[in-house]
Amino acid sequence: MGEGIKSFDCAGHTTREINSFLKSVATSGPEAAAALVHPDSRHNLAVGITQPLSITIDGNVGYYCAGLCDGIDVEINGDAGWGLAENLMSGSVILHGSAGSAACATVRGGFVAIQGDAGARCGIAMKGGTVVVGGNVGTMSAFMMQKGVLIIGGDAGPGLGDSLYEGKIYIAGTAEAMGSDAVEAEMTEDDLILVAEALAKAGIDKDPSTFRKIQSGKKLYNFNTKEKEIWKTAL
Amino acid sequence: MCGIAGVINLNGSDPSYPVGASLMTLAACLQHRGTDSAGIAVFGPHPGKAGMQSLEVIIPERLPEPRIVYDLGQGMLSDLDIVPEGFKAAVKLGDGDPVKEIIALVSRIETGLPGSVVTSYGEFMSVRKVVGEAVGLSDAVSDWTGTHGIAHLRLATESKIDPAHAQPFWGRPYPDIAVTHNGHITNYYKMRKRFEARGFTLASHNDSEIIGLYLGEKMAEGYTLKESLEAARTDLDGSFSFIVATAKGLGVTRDPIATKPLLYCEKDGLVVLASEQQGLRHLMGETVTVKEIKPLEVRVWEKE
Repeated sequence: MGEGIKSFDCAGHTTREINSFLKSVATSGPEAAAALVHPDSRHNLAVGITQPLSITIDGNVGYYCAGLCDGIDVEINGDAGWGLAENLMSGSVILHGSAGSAACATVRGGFVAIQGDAGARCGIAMKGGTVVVGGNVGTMSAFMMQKGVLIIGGDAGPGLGDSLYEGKIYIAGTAEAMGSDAVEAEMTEDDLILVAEALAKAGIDKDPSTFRKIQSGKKLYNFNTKEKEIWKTAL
Repeated sequence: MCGIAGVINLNGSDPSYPVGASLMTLAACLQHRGTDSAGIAVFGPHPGKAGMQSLEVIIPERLPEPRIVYDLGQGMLSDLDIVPEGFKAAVKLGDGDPVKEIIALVSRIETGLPGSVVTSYGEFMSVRKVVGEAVGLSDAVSDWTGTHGIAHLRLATESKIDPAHAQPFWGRPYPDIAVTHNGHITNYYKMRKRFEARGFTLASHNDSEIIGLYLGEKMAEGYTLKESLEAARTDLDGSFSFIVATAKGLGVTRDPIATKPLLYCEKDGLVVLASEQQGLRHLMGETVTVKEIKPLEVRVWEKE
């Protein structure tokens, strides 16, 4: 344990006590650091922290870990339940295991790396930030993704990028079925650099040139009402 | 919201796995998902009773005199025994259609003993359901052993709170089938009407109850458990993650939108399922590999 890292054993404490501890450490300055042991797959750990804090969690976490945070850096040595890093404003979350459904829902900024797999609805309604998944993502991932970047090292379940806006998806594996108005686009040099940098930051060893880009076909919200056939197909 | 759990010991034919205690561990970890009711169904051979069917009844009033129960049984019941909040009895079928006989027997009991509900019927199955939290089950079920079982924590959404409306539901009238369900079957009333028109009855107005009846009927028609679940995932409308337990094992499926969770792990011949991961790790270790049943996936684990 390094100097200045405040450790807390979750066993025998309420979730409120654990989060209060984290918030109190967060006020100690820009180098604030905390470590949690025995998280025991609890829900709602490290939520609502809006001052700089570096957190290491040694074990598995439940739902909404690191949700509603701004400017924190979290590293989790285990699996996560649903809603990992939900609504992250800025900062980073690194998950060494796999995440459940709705991981990175409505993320607005910052960087999330999931080294294993993610469940259904990964990156649903993202509004910014970068999410990198080393493995597979589940059904309806990036559903209604408005902005931001989702990078998928493995495969995606059906409905990938359904109703996408300006979000960008990069996928190395196969998408079981594309979502409504999600289309493949040319990878540019800038795309390759973006993917390479994100993979490196996420600690995921994959060749950027194996990724394909998926973006919005822009037919769902830009169409001519007179072109009824397009209306029917897009919807 | 509801929490569901299941466990099966696939190692040999050992009937002494602590199914009850394992399910109680899972239930404690899932308790926050529903505090309205809790229930457990455990499957295992009953010593000295191979090949014999028995049924279990919950009765909120004083227990009736045995003579009254035997009269209602019309010769089908014997070996009456007291269980918490009710009784159990051995069942002997006549020569008629077993489905019709069981439907009629259950009807006679539930009409003849107002407020009672038959919660279990089969050779291997035992069911205990209570209003309130899972701790209310522990005295009864903590030392139940067997081969497999399922559990339920209820957060009531559309029907009333009493033991009859709690899960797991016996798939009446079929023997040795019970279901624990998280979700909402939206074509319940349509299905219920069709089943009732053909003479089937249900214990409650809880939509979850239709699942066991649907699966039981499919298997009575010759479908395997796997085929029954493949049919169920298309025929059932609404949200569902459920575990069905039969004499031989467990089966699961999830609806395609998959908003109701179902995780599992397999290790050393044990398969454990639950809505959330904490209980899996309490039973099988912090580092066990936990996977999620995929939307529309059908999995079956059966003993030989």
